[in-house]
Amino acid sequence: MSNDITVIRQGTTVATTTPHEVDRRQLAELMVGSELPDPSGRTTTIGDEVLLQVDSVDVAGAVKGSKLALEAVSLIVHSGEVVGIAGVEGNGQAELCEAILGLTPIVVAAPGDTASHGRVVLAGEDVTTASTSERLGKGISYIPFDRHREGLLLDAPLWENTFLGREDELGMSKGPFLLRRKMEADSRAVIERFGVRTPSEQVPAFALSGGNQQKLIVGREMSSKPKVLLAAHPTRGVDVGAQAAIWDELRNARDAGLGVVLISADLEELIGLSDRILVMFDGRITASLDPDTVTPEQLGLYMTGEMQEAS
Amino acid sequence: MDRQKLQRVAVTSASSVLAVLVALLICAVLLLITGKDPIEAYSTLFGAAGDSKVLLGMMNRATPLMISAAAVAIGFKMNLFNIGVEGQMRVALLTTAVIGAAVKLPAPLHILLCLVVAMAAGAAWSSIAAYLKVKRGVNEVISTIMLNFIALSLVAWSFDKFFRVESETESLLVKTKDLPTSAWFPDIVDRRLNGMFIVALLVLVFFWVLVWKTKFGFRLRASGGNPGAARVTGVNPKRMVTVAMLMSGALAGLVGMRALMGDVHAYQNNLAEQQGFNGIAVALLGRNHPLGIFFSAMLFGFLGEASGKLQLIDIPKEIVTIMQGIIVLAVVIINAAVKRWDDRRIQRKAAALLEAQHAQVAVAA
Repeated sequence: MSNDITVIRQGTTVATTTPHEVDRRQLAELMVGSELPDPSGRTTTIGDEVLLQVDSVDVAGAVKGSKLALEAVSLIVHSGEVVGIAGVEGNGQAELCEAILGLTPIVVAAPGDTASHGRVVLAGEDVTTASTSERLGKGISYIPFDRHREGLLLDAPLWENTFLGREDELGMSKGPFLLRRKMEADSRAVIERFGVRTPSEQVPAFALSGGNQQKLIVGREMSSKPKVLLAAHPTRGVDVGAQAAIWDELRNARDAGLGVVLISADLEELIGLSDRILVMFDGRITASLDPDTVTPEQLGLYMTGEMQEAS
Repeated sequence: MDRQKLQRVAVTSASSVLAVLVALLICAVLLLITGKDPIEAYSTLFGAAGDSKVLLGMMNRATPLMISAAAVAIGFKMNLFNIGVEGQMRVALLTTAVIGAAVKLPAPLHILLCLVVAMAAGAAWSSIAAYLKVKRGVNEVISTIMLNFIALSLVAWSFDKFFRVESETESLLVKTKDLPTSAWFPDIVDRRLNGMFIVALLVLVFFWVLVWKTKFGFRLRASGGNPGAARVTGVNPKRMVTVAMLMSGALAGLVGMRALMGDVHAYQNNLAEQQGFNGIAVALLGRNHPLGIFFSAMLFGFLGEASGKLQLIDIPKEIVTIMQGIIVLAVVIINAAVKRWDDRRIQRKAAALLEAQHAQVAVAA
C-alpha cells in the first residue's frame, strides 16, 4: 500500500526503505533491531526425560450430551522439547490446557471402565486427580490465552501481579501473611530481567501496554522454574520487540530443559520454535508434522481438516 | 507511604466527600420545595457536632454499622453480595439471647461465649446461602434476600412460641429472659457509649489485615478482581465463596451485640432493626475499605443521632434518611466517573514517566 516505509525505534528513525526493497522478515528485523528466529538455523535440545504425558484424554462438550470437546487426545513432551499445537481456534486447544491444568474434569466413560480412563502424567507422577494448585506447585506454568481475562489483575499493582498464584512457592509468604517488601523487591527483579517497561512496580497493570503486560506474565510464569510450560499465544497482540524478547526467553528456558506446549495462531512462530507440530481439528489431534519440512500452506490444509494423517 | 498511593487515597476520599456534598445540595433543594429553610436545617444538624452527648451517641450508633459494613465488604471484595446480613444478625440475636441467658459463667468468659455463639449462629445461617451457591449455583443476592424474610419470620415466630417472657412491670414489652449481668458488655461512658465500639474497631483492623496483608486476602481480592485469572492460578472459587460467605455471616452475627449485650440485655422483636441493611450503604460509601467504612459509619451515626434536633425546629427527621439514601446513590455514580478519570490519569502518568526515563538514558548515552 505505502510508497515509502520509515522505521522508527524508540523515538529515532533507524531506516527508510520502500516495499520493493524489503520483505516482511527484513522489515520486522529493522523494527526489532535484532534478528528474528529463523526456522532453518534451529537447534534441538530434546532430552530423554518425559516431562508431560497426556494419555487419551476426553473432555465433555459445553452442553450435556453434545459432542466431546476433546476426544482421545494424547501427547508427550520431553525435556527441552517444544511441541507446537496448530489449529483454528476453538478446535479443542483451550480444553486441552484446561485438562492439563485440572480446570476441567476428564471424562470417564463408565464407572469401572479403566481402559478408557485418560491420564495426565507430570514428570513421572500421575496428577490426573490433583487439583489445579497442586499441579502448578509440581511444576506446570501457564501463559493464558487472554491476558486480560485470565492473566492479570488489571487494577492491582505489578508487584502483586508478579506473584499471583505463586506466593507460597516462591517464598513470598510467612505463615498466612504476605511479605510485601520481598514481593516488591523480587517483582522489580522480574521486571528488570524480562524488560517490562514501567516506571515502577507500584503501577497498576492496566497502565502498561499489551506487550509489557505479556512480558510480565511470561516473567511470572518462568520465575517459578517450571518443568512444563503451557504457552497459549505467548506473543499475540504484542509489538515485535516484545515478541523477540519472549521468544528468546522461551528458547533459553527450553535449552535449560523446559518442556513447552506451544499453542499459537502464528504459523511462523510455530514453525520457528517447535520441534514437532501437532494439528488439532475438531477436538482431536489429526497430524504430527516436522516443522523442518512443513510449509504454512500445508499446515493450513491440515488445520481446516482438508488433510488428515492416515493414522 | 509513597506519593502514588497518597494520591490514590486523596482521589478516593475526595470523590466520597464530593458525593456527600452533592447529596446535601439535593436535600437542600428538597427542603426548599417543602418550604423549609435549608440553612437553618443544616446549621441545626451540624451545629449538634459541638454537643459531646451527640458525639458519644454518634460513636454508639456507628458501632453496629462498622461491623455490618465489614461483613458486607468482605463479600464485596470478591464480588459476592451478601445482602443477608440483616437475617444473619436476627438469627444470631435470638440464639445468643437464649443461650446467653441459660448459662452461668464468670463475666469475661460469659461475654466471650456470647460473642462466639453470635458469630457461629450468623455463620450457620449464611452457610445456607453458601451451600446454595456452591452446590446449586443459586445467585447469592436472591438467596440471601429470601433468607432474610425467612429469618425474620422464623425468629419472630420461635420467639413468640418458645422464648417470650411476660414482663411483670412493663406489660407491653415482651422480651426473652434477661441476660445475667455477667454477660453484659460494659460501657465506656455510662449509658452513652458501649464497649462494643472497641470490638467494632478491632473488626475493622482484622478486616484490613485479612484482606490486604494475608495470602487469603490476596486470593479473595484476586477472585473479585479477575475470577478468570484467580481460577487459572489455582484459586478454588467454590472454597473461596464458602469461606467468604461464612466469614461475612460470622461478622453479621456480631452486628446486633451492642444492642443485645450492651443495651437491652434481652431479645425483643425490633432489636437492632435495619442495622444489617444499613451496613450495605456504609460499605458502599466507605468503598469497602476499613478507613472509609470507619468515617462513613461515623457520618451515618452522626446523622442518625443529630436528626432528633431537626424535629425541634419542625423539620421531619426523615429528611436524614432521605439524605442517607441520596448519599449512597451519589457515591455510586460519582465513584464510577472518578475511577474512569483516575485510571486515565494513571495511564498517562505512567507513559510520561517512561518518556522521562528514556530521555535520561538518551542523555547519559
